[in-house]
Amino acid sequence: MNIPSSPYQWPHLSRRAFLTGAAAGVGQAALASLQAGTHQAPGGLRLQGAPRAKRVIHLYMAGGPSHLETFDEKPELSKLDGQPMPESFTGGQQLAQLQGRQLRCLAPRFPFRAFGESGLRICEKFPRLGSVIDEFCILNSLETDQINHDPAHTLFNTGTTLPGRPSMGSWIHYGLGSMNENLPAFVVLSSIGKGGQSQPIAARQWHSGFLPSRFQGVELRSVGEPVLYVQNPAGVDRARQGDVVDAISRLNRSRTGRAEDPEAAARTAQYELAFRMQAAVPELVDLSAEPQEVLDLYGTEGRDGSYASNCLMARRMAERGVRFIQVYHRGWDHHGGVQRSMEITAQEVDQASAALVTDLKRRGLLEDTLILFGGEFGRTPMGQGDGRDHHIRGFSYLMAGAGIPGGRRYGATDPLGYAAVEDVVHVRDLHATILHLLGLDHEQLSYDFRGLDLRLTGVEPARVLRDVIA
Amino acid sequence: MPLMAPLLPALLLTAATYSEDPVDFTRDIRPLLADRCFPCHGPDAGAREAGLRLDLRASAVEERGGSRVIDTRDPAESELLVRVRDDIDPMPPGPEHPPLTEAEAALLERWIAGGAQYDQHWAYRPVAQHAAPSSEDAPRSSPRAGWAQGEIDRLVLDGLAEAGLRPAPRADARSLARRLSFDLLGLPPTRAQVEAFMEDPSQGHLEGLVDEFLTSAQHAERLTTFWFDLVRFADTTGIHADNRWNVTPYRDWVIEAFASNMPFDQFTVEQLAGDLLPDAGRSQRIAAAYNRLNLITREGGSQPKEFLARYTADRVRNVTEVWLASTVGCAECHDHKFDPFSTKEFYELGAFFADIDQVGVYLSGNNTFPPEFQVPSPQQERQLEELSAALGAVDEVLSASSPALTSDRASFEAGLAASRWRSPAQVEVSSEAGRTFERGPEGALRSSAEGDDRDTFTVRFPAPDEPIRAIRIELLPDPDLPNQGPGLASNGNMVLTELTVRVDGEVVPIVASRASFEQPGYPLTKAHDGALGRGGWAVMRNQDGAPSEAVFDLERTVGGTGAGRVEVTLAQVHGGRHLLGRWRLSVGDATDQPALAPRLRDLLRGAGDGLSEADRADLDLLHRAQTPLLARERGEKARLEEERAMVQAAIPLVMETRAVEPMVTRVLARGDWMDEAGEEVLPGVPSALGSLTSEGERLTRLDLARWLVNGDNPLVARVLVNRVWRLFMGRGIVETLDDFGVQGATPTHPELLDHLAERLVDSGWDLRCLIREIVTSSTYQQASSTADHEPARGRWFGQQVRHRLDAEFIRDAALAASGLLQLEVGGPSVRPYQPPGYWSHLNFPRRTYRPSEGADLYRRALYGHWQRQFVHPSLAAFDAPSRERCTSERPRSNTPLAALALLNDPIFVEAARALAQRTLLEAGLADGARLELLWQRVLQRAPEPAEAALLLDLLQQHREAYARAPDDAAALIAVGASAPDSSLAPTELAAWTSVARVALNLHEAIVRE
Repeated sequence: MNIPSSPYQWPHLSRRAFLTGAAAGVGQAALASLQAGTHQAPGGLRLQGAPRAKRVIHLYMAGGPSHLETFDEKPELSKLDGQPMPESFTGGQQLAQLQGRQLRCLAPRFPFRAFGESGLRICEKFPRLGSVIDEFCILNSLETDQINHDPAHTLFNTGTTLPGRPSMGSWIHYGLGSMNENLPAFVVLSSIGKGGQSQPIAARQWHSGFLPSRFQGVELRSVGEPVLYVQNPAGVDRARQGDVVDAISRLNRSRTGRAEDPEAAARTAQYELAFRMQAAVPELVDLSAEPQEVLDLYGTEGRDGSYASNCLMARRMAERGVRFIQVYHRGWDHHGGVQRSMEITAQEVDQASAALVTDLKRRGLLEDTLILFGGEFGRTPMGQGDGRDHHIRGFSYLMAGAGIPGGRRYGATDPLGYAAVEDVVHVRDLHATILHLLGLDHEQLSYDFRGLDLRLTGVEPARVLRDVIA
Repeated sequence: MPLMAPLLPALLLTAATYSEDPVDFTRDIRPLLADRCFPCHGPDAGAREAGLRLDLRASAVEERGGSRVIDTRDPAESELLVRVRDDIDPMPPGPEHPPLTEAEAALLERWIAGGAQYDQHWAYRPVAQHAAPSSEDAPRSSPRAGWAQGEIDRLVLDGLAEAGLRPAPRADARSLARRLSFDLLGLPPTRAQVEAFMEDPSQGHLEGLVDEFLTSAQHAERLTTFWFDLVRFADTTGIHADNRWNVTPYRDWVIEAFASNMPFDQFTVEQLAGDLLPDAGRSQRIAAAYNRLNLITREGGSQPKEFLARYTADRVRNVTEVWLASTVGCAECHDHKFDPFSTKEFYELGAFFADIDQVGVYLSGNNTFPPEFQVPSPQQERQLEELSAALGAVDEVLSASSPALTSDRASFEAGLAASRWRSPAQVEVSSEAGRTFERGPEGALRSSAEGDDRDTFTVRFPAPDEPIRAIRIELLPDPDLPNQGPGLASNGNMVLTELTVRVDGEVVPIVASRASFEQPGYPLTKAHDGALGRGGWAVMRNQDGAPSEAVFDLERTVGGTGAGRVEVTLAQVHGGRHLLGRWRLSVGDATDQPALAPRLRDLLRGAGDGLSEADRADLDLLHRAQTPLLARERGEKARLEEERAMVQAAIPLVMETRAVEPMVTRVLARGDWMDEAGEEVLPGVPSALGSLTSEGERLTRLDLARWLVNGDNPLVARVLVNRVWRLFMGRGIVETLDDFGVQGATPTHPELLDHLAERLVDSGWDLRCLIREIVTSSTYQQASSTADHEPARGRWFGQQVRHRLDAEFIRDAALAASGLLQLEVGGPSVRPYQPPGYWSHLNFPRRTYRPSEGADLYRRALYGHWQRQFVHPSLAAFDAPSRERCTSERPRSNTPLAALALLNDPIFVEAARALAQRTLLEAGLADGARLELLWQRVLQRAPEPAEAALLLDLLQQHREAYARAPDDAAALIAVGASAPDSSLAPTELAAWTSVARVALNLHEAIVRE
């Protein structure tokens, strides 16, 4: 059991950070179990051996990418192009915009080809991802319960569609704590694509729900201030802001010296952390020290709000100890013109996603970073005009890093790419696996809320995908 | 299998575990059974194992194959004890469920030995039965004679005495005044209020201050914030595009209800079923908007049935959370694991709301969610009345007879008979959108339907030899047009946005016009006002396909010399294919020719003999509509109508709860909306909470509401007084505000809880009376401390608590100290400053945030636009909830993001500058006096010497710093929309702004002690 006997042995955790607690420092749940003086307090947190990953980068392809034009090759579907979709596949299933319409097969729009030493076949529109495909395990058998964007995102992030539940980044922050003193532990970035509709994303997706708010995701914005209110007011330079913060701290201490108010002491610590963030965030987003070679690798000129720029930012955050990094790209809702839209959107993400893997690997970070790539659902093998509708019965996901053996494929859909039929992976199985790689047991990571011990994976049984991570 | 690995709850280790105190089922046994056993042996029939129910005594004690699970005659042989003590295979089963400790098992054994008495769960027992008066003979109240002022204090004192504690001393006068003001108003007290109270801190003075606060509008606003977290009030739909909806009149209703101390039973009934009250007026119908506050979607591809099921579930969850503090929502998919609520009962509650007129997916316009109705303000009502009176007066003039009119009428008719219109020759017609025109008899044209929704037609012809002084457009019916025309729009209408006449490229102005018919709001003058897109001439009327015509007088004569080319453009950019369908352009040789329905013209040509009475009346109307004698009045009428339309458009709407034929409600297996096999259910209430029946009639929301507040419901009053108690004492008597079920906490002071509940009901649900009783008690007035070092004090209410103010009040307090705060009550939502791009994740439509202007920027936060998916970042940083669901208790986090918001949000910087400015203008010239006034405004105390030294040092440093950087000084004091006072030196104001920022950011400034 790899539990430090004293909190001061916790990685990256100084004595001072522990004492000031709160945003920096050890995870709340971990702390509870440490204070209980046992590795297996009943119902408390139990780390499962050495964690394989310290951090997660979730490349979130929002809108629902078609698995049929990305990672799930379906030659049978091509043969049935334009033919009615066999009833045996679709009878009694919930559809979104196609509900009640005549259903016809739409052939995959692009050829697939083999990449890498593994020879894994993916769509030819993703050549850069293909060049690093030996790092990835392709999961072809995802399924979810929610067929519309907003509920599907909520399910993917929180394990349920009920509002008020914590997102996985918050759970992970809660379970493991932060690894740095100047930046948030859970950061969200997003970019907007030019193909398809850019569906809205609610702040619920990175909310801490019933967990304390300090576990909430913080948005790193590409327009205006990188973090809300991180910039000093007009006319206030860093020295003057420092004077103000210093005066606040000293006055708080002088009053609290008598009252012994730990909340006031904590507030003072938060002001000091805020002041440090005011320096750390601009340093984080300043790409001027990145060599041209790196900018070229990702395909970005600098901080321009593009997916490429956000991928580079994700690497910088990984280096600086951010625990959970979620990079949304809003451009995958291809109801019409899936061919043209896919070409655009693939081009927007292919190079930078591959660059992130390459860059992390050469810096030695890939081995303890889990990379996830995929969307909230897939798209129908049936056409919606020349596009595809939302689809929840089968879609694909990629995992890399964290020691996951690459160049492999797991699970499969039926010959037409409709339903996952082999080694089916529900979203909650993915959640359980992510937590497992971080050393967390999804059945143990729970929180007492309204008389219930709630957890990310919910009440249905969830399984760790041992065949994927072994 | 139990579903979850339970934590070991500290509360199980109660006194009875280790002592020989009598075992109390509610306190000691039920939580243990509920936590460890009920998941498989409880109310949920779907998860029940071995047919055993440990939540029912009858099931537990019955004989099963020679043994009993609970055997009171031979307790140690009870199967329950044998199994939990089984070393090899203990219950609960499996490695994830820790076995019971021996102490817990021994507790069970003692309980069984004592007869295994089951009590009804405390929260479901009737209130009155429990409320025994505090014993008077007990000497335990003596330590602090005179401390107890009433029943609250006596009961709290009893509890403290039992725990061996004494109450904390009374808080100092300043803290108490601040506490009362923040608790009751959400605002700091004035310096004068604090000083007067310090002068005379008597109970009498305190009660006077309390009454002053309780009767203020600010108190009603404060309670409204409390209520809104519960009922999830927000300005937007919450799902997907998160569109704005129409709801703000409901906010005004809630404020008014609290301001008038509406009894809580009425408050409940009007919100749940105001529309169903026999004498429902506008106010009750507004209140019923409560039923429309659930999250709704407009996302394309959503299935209406699925979302209707969600809306129902959302309503059941909210009503049971708010009024019953029960987790009935758990029963949506399965019978409740711990509490006596079945899935069927969940859907029976849902059936109460099946009558609400709604749709599953709102594909109506962006911000309309029908049904809705208008709620004019008193001022708007007055304006409408005045406009209506003025219009009546003008109409009177317009319809009166006079000799002058009579003689004018004669020449009008003569003119009509004589008027001559010709169709120009060699006409070319074109369309910007590529429409084609089919030519009919006498120059009539028929526009083709296909093409853009907006278009501009151009008619060109050589100027004829005869002079032209006027242009006429006739609109003609056509059986092939929608609604018989004359336009191409789906209702047969058209809008002529702008008509322009050019000769050889030069515009010939139109000096007068008249039409045979104008649709209200679309007068012909709009068609030659030189503005594209600001309305136009339209002709929608009841009578389908009626022809109309419009006449345009030109400023000068055109043609006549045989030279030049005339070009008439007809812009029609209204959209929605509001285009001319069948029409004709003619030219006339005289101005002031009347516009006339073609049929009348034909009749007049025939010397007028064929005119019926009705025709003559039409002619009279036409004459009055066109004669220059009435031009002024007609102009006045058009102006008044336009004004009325503007007033109408500004009237707030509110979503309406309208009862229609109830939709069928079925039990959905595991909540699956596609499953149609479930049992059909009618409205009903959970049997554990009482009964509600009616003779053959279907129960309604009104029945539900009245049942909640009929005084017999065991939960509603307890739940409410517990919430109110927590508002003023920092924690509930039942600590789990939102769970009064068996998994929730048990009351620390059951008698106190019932005393307050009983008083509430007996007083006629007088909320103000309840609040007054709490905040004037000695219990409330105790000094505060942080609960950490003596937790028992907190548990037994032997001290007050300190906590950070709620998000809204942090903002309100800063604005109050700065003098910027606007105390206007009610009205539509306002928009404070917000960082640009904060809404960039929203779509359908994309939205650009525009802050309010002027005074609206400084309203209380309660009035700020509440975007569920993106709550204002400053409020969110201080834990303002999204209001997607009922929030009983906000967390009080302490994060760097909150520090950044309070340091850097422009509203707080502007407040600091305004505070500094106000201080400099009012406190003379001495730094010490200025500092004292500033400190008084924020903290209602003078700075201590060490504080003053530190602050004056900062002041001096920043004076020097800003003197070196005057541009920075100017930039700092320019933050915000209000202008800095130009009589103050910018560097001095900037330096004092730094001092004010320190004050507003102090822990003490945002904490209620």
